[in-house]
Amino acid sequence: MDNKTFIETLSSRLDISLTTVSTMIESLREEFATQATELDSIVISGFGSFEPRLREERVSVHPASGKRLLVPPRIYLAFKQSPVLKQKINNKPS
Amino acid sequence: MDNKISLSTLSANLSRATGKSRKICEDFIKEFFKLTTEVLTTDESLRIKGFGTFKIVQVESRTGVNVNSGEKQEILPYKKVVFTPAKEMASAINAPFAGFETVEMEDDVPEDIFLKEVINNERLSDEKGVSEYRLEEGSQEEGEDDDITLEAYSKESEETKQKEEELKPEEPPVVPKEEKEEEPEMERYEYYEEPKKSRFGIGFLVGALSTFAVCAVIFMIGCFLDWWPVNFGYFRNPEKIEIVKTEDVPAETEQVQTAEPEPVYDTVSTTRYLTTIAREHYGDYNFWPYIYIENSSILGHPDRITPGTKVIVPELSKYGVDPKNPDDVKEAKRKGAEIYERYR
Repeated sequence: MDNKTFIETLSSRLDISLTTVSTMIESLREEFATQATELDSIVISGFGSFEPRLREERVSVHPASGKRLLVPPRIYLAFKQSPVLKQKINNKPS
Repeated sequence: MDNKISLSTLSANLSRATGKSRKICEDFIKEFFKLTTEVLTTDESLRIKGFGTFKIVQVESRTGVNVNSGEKQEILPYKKVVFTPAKEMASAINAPFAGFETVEMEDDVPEDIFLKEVINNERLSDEKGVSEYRLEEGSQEEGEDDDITLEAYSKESEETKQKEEELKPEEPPVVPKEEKEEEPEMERYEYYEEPKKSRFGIGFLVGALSTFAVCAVIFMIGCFLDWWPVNFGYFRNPEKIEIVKTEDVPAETEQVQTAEPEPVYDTVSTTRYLTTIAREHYGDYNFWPYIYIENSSILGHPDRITPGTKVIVPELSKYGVDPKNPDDVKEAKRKGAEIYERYR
């Protein structure tokens, strides 16, 4: 399903306008980002958890040129599915 | 940090950000993920603009171990949801690190250069330690030259002589840099003159200080121009002596090699590398290149030495290096890098 259909479905189900849905998604993203920068994980019950993981800075060697590179730290947002979601997508009765 | 944010907190924050009521926000988030689940159950991937992509990935069957019983068992294939944050999401998360970029590092900079510098500074600041260290090195020369220097000074004017004799006993414990030399003397001088000040007045102090300053300048210029016969050239450039030392060594090397009665042997194994041996024999693993150089005829790539290879462990004095000398450590590191460079 593409983005457009997704927003339209949400809008009709919640009975709010399309633009409101888009702005809500935007704010939701900002909210996720704020929590992730503080390394707090977000748990949505029945769906899964979004866990930010901090990768420290490190020195890596470029395989071709052999140059040493200092890679800055970075936060990755990892998603872990909940058992409920796993059962659902594997078509097993919960 | 490491907290778990639940739906209620999330919706509260969202309502504050959007200005909508908490109820609407909570419903929205619930519906958002419900719809996502629905889409995912139909095996479709879902791309939400500005948020991220949810995708279904098939995980193949594999054998795992039951943690409780320790038995091996087959884990059946299953599907799992993978989330990839959108570009906007990823950059928003990494906003605190936005200023950083991947930087290229220079090859010849040792990784612990800062650590080494700290150690160096500590040594210099610890004057006593340095003086002892210096004395050990140059004790011979100084002992011989003491008389000569005294003679040289007797030629100076009386005042100068007085000053220099005052200086004399203080010289050995002083760091061999001229700037450093002056500081402690000045302080000490003032300290001793303090009681006199009341008797002879400020005029004397000013006069004495200026004479002292003139003497110091003459002394320093003398050092610089090699006026004094021998001894103070040593203060001017301490490297001189070390260089002479290292130059002498290559000539002696062959002699030592033949004359050395029992060379120390050690064996490389899967757990003992050149670095391990160097640490045991020299106290510093950085000095492994010297073992390598000693055995270069039988060794290839330093990381691919056949276990069981017997190597000769040379005396470090043979190469004129000392594990305690930070410069030698640097040199050893450089040699190590050089060896690796050969097998690129």
